[in-house]
Amino acid sequence: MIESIIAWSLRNRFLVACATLFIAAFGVKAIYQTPVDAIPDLSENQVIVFADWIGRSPQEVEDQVTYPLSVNLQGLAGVKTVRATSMFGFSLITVIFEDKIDNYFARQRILERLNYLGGTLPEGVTAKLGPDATGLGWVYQYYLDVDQSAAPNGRGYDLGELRSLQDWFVRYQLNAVPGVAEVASIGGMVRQYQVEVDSEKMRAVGVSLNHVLTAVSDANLNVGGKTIEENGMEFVVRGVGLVESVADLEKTVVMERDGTPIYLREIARIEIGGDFRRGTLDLNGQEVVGGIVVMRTGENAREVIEAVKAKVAAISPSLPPGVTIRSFYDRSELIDRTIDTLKHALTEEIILVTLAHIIFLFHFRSILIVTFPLPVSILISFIMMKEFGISSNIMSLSGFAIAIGVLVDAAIVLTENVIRHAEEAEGKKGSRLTSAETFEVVLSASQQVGRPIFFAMAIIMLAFVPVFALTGQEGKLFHPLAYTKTFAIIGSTILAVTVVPVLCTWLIRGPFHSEDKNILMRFLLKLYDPALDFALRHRGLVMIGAVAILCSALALIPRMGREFMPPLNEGSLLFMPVFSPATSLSEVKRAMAWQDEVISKFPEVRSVAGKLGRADTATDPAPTEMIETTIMLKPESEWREGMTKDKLVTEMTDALRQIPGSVPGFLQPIENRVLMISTGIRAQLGVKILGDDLDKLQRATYEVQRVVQQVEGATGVAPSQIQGKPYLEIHLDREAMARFGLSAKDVLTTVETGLGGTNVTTTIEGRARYPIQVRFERSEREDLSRLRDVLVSSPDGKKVIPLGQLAEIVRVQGPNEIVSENGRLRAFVQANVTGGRDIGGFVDEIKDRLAEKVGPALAAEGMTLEYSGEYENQIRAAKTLRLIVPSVLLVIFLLLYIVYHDAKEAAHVILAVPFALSGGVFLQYLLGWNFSVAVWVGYIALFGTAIQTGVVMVVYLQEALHKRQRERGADFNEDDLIAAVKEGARLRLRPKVMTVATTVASLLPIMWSTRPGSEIMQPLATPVIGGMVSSLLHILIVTPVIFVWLRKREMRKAQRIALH
Amino acid sequence: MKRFLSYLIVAALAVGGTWLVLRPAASDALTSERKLLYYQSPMHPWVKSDQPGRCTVCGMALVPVYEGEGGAGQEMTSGVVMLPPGSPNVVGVLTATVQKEPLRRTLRVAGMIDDDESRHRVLSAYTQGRIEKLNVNFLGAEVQAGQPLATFYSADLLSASRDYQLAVRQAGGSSTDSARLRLIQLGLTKEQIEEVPSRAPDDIFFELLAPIDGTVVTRHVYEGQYVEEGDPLFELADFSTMWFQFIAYEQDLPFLQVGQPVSITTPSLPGKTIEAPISFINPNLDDMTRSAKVRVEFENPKSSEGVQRKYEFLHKLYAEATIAPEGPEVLTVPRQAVLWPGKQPRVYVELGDGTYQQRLVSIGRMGDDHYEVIEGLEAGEKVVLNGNMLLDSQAQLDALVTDMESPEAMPSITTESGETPRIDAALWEPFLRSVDDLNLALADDDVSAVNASLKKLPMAPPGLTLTSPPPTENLDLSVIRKAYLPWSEEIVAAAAKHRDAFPNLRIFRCPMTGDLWSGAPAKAAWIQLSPGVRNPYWGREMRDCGAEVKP
Repeated sequence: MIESIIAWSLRNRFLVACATLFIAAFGVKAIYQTPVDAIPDLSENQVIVFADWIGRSPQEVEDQVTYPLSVNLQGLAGVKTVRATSMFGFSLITVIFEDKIDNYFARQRILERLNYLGGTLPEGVTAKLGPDATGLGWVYQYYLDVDQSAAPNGRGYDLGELRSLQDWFVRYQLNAVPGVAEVASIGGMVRQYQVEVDSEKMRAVGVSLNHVLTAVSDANLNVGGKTIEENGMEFVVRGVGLVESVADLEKTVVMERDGTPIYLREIARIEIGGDFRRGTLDLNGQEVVGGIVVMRTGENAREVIEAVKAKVAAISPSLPPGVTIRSFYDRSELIDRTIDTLKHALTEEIILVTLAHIIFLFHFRSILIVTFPLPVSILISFIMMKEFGISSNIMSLSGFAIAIGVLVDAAIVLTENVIRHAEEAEGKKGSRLTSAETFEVVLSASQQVGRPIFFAMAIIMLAFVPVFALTGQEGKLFHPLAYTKTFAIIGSTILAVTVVPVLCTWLIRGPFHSEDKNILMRFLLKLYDPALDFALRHRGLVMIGAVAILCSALALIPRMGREFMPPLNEGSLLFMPVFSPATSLSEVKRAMAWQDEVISKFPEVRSVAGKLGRADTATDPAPTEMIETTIMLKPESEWREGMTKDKLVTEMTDALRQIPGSVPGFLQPIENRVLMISTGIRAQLGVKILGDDLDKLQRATYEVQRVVQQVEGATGVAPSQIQGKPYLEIHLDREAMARFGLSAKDVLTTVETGLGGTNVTTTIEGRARYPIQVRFERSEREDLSRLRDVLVSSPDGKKVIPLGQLAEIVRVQGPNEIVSENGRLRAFVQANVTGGRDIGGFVDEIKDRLAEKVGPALAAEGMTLEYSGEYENQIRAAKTLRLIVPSVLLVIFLLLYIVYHDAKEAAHVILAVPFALSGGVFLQYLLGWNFSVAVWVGYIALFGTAIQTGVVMVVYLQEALHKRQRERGADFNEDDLIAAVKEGARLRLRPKVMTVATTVASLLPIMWSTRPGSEIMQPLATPVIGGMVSSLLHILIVTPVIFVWLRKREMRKAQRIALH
Repeated sequence: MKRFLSYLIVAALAVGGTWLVLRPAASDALTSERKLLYYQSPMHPWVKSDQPGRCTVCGMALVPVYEGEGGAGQEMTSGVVMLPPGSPNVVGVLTATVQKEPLRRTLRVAGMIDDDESRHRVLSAYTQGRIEKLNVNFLGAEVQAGQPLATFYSADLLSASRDYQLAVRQAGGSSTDSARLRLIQLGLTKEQIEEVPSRAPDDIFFELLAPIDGTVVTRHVYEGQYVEEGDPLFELADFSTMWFQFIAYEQDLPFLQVGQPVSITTPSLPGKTIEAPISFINPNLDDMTRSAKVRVEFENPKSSEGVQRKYEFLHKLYAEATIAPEGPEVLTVPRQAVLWPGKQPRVYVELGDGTYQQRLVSIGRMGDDHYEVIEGLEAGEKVVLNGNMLLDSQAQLDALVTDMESPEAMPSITTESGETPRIDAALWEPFLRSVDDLNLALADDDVSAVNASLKKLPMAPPGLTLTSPPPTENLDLSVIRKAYLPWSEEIVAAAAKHRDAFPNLRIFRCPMTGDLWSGAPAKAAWIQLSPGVRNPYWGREMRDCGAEVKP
């Protein structure tokens, strides 16, 4: 079949050329259409449901909102888990769906369920669907910069005005940009009318809080009075009563007593102030107002950012004078830089590969043949990427980078064979070939290697199947790479059997330079001949040496570390200290302002933006004690002499240690978002304790911890911390309340409204809307010692009693946030294993011990133990690989058998795998890379290539052997065998060295690059480079030895049979 | 050409390779000068490791903690936080001295300014009759004593006055007296009665006179109105002295005493404050609101401004007042200094050189800016006012680290309420007994007995985690004692928690162990199951040095 494709292509050269051009054009178009982002979207298929319940403690939120919601969301089709967190005033439920479920379908299902659940939630609480985005969608963050001198009054704008501008103008404008899921505001003060009542004055005039609430809400409305006709003219009647100013509120009558109105201003102070806040933003130490543009999942990040920037430019003129929108985080820079890195790497790779060809072939037109399929196969895979919905990002483009060596391989083998045949033909003919003769040579030469090429490519693709079998986060990370690599190989295979022969007929012309004339080849042959001689003479020694090398490589493996992924250098840092949950917002803010000022003094830093607490988005569940400071760095060329990122982080850490109470930790923005959305347990083992009582759970964690700690090999055993937030609890004294005839509601309304404040109604002022809040005067509620004096009035305002006589006020420690899973409260103890213990046995021992020691006690208290953590993934991955790798090897073996029709040959080709591994291990050890998924993927890529090179070697050896056997016939003896092997091996030297040289050359640019993004590709490339070099040695030296050894046994057997 | 190119490539490969191999070495050099203690997770500080790596919870890289940073450099005395130099300024640590002073607690109250009840007068009709004319016909009119308020016609009065006239004319005796008494009964003043005999016969009206200087606060009658005997006509109040009456709730009453000065302000006179003492606390509690009325009397001068001179404080004015009772001198600590997240309040005491110690304190009464300290602090100590929350965070971080090392000290919810985990006394008994044997042998300087009891020493019972190893057998007792000291201290600390479980357990402490060897702690303790001091540290040299430590 392959042969006929080649023949057909050669006959329809014009069609093939046109089709190639078309495909290339489509490919170029596809490049611009595939979404571009920095890294693949690692988030799980999730839908966020959130509900605000202002001012409520995590316990209330958990009991009345989170629990009913999470248990009801469980039963939906395709739901994997429901994880929930109850925080102060906020419930966040993450429903994780199976990956195959369409996200919009999932959202629809949840929405249906929420409609039906609405009634079960407390009054005033609505569960809402989060945006169709995750924290990974934070692509552009900005703040409103104020130039005071340009502002009309020369003093600038206050934080309330800026926040209004952000909330009511900038936000909606940017939200309208296609691809933006939402724009979250952060920082500043939300403007609010504050009615601060004085309870003593209320008592004096006999007014209760309820009177005030009713009065305020009745003071703010507009109505319509339909229409009135006058003289044939129709008037629309409008009753205007909306509150528009503080004065309107002041004139509100609360009550009328004997004809005397009691105005609100007599019992309250009314002012415009800032709403209660759970987050602030700080730029270089100054408080500012800003926003976060959250991109919809799956959008083209670069395009969205470009559109947002265009919109910013468009609305800038209409901002008030002196206000400008400036970004403090812009992911497009990173995207551009990583894509740039890859572009550079690809260009350098192509140049190096071309150089390698020049040296080995020294035939310039054939270089064109070999290099041409490279860009075209990449274009082909872009077409496929677009069809499969794979975005261009560092991982998918790395797929090209590591594939380049392989991409040219097919073309090299074919061209080399064509040239060799043409050379021979030319030699036979004695003059240059005519184009018809060339055509014939090309046809036969191409058909000869067509099948092996096809099989070799199939093997490379098959060998990569285990990467597709990866699941979880590593799967999401490496699937794009596997896809693009496979696409490119498919493309290059197709090209190799269609376009390449066509190009050969056009471009291969004499005179040819014989291999012997190539100085490099002469040099290599001079080295190779004696080495091969020696090896064939001392076959045992070679085998022992090979095994020794293999063993020493295996011995090195346990000495190397393990990690998940080397992080991508994002060119920016995220400083993320977390204070004790008891720390107040103002104290954290004070610390943050200082930190930002310190960081901004570093000459490498371009901007520092500190975020404390939450932005107004469901994608940001950060508590107030958590700071996230985005540090944008200058390009490395502007850094101080000798400064590296690690050094910078160390210096910053030292400078920031001056603030006690937190451990300074640095991450990178995207890295952090990835960690934040994977809320599962990241330790190897997590013992989850599910129950219904937080105190019991916390105690249970300590019990479990004690048991786990005693298990051999356990390290990093840590229980989750549940309590830690100070609470002030107001416990009702029902007897006292009964004496005064007050209900719990009367007292607690005072707590809720008086202390916390109630937003009674909302003003409507043009586009803006501001809440009107009623609460007690600051002096009454902000002093803990005076809480007992807060006056509780009966609904009619006749009886007024201090809170201290109706309730007991106690200080307790409570939960900072409550985490639940599938409707049950969750606490956990996590552990890692060291000391070379097998994780499975470790987990089993822990399970046994826990079942024996604490299991019954926990069960008696209604708690259950579950086990999860990375070990699950590890076991699952091991299981998958244990199944997949052998079956892949088997399939490869079968393919090889089809090629050779000989099991022994097939087996010995597969032997290339362990030898390739040893070189990879040595290089990895030398460069100090840990074992990570990236390294493993590199090894998997190596295996395919190693086998493929082995295949071709054996083909050559067999060819030489058959030739010699034909020549010698029955006289064929062992010397002939060795001579044939030598001849075949010598012949194979050039293509083999060329393949290895191109592969190594194609990966070297990655290794020497220091641009952002290269740190992800280097671990991928390392095993391939090392492995290719060792497999070169293996194939050139060991393979002939094994080949001879196998044939000799065959011959002896044959002789024995002949003797009998 | 070919040769040149190939050399070039080989050279390039060689250079590239060498550089790649050498590259990773550069970055580690920086950190090696300081002593590294451990690596800690920034987000989950209780996750800690002795090797670099990633946090098991969140995956963040662990941060190295070096000696002398945070609280880590110290011998981990729990609750001592040590800041790096310069840090106190950054944090803005402010301190204040604990001192003895009167605790101020300002009481804020509100109430009404009323007239002096003791000088409030109601004028009612002495007899039936008709109000002929009102001389004072509006509320709030100021009247002088003796000023006519209304003209009154009354048949009774008229006839009584005629009787009196008649009686006077008849030059009377006893009948004059009775007629005069009758007039007094009908409400005429002495002066009016004096005038009666000379009244014109057609003068049938009488005047109602103001009994006191004051202000008309109520008027019940109009001109021409007929009134029955006892009907109220006017109410007069004297505004020259006012009563400020406020409601004091049960919880405030202990702070109030007659004679305490009160500062009164009212919104109608901004900026004006009246100081007056409490004159009376009503002993009748209002059972509806559980409150008592408290009275403050003060002079109400007439303002000198304007044409019409009026009283400064009007009747029924809303007024607020503050009372600052001054108590006895107590040990006080500024309220800012006290962190009180749960049941146990704590403060941070500056020890100097950037070290701060956590102290659990017991808090008494609460003042405006100060708390009364009952226990935990001494006068003259410096407590942290500002930045103490950050210090507390750091202390918690440190505590998390130490607690993870010794599971016994782990924070547990039960310790919050003061409970300690219960232990199995039966398992502890043999261990404590053999420790006691060892102690007695040491006290006797009996080398062979010491070694014998060391040999028999059982394993530590469950629930007792000892970080110091037990002493090992040796012929030199000073060597044994050196190892014995830290070990014994730990046993004492653990045993002290469970004294209830062992009735005959005694703990002794020797204050002179500092002289035993250089670097020995000044004080050291041991347990004993029998009475009488048997000092294992000094042995026979000073066997009875030490004192029992009572729980």
